[in-house]
Amino acid sequence: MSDPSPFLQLIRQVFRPTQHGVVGLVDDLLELCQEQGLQLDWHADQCRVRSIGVEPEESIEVPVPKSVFRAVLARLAALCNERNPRSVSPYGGEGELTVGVDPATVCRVAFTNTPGTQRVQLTRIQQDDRAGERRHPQHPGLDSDPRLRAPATR
Amino acid sequence: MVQPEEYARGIAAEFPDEGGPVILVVDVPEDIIARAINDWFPLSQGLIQFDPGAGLEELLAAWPTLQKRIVEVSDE
Repeated sequence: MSDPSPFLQLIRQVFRPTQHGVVGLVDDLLELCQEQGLQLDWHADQCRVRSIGVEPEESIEVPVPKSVFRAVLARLAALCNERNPRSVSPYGGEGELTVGVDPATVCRVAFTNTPGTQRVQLTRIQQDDRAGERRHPQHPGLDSDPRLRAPATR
Repeated sequence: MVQPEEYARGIAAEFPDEGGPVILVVDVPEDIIARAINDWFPLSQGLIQFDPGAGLEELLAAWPTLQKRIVEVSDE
């Protein structure tokens, strides 16, 4: 049996519980998004993570409670709205986040977080070389406030 | 930072036929909260998640006796 790919190893590492909770998990996912796109969905009572935009695409199911996954989506929604107020609803939408500083990366977030459907796609849009954003970098997933911005579920 | 009022307005916008935004404030005993604390939902995160096996059963049992109040939220 072959060793898991670096991507799969990284995903397993990201989804290990830490003292940073859901906030830390979102931070790590956004950091990973700087390297490659991700798609996460809740399928057959499991969280499925897929790499997108690379060949070959890979996927892995990670053992995380549904409430955690929904909290991740809620956190992403809150961060999108922090960057651009009311750009997404708690139940879904498309927004953007700026991740990192040097270089900053703009990630597109497209998600659904309803009782019946939970999924998100994180796609790197560009390496940010816009001077204005360099002067005012944002750290949506890496800010100093450790608290969640919004409740996770209805 | 998203304030509870703003979140309530967001929920109400999604469900316009449910009477408008409010916040339900509930005093939950610390021993029940303690059951909901774990690595994914540390208390420092500011969000308490009551799941099956992690405080939900205890919360449901205590629910009828818990102090609650409804805070009206303006539509803005």
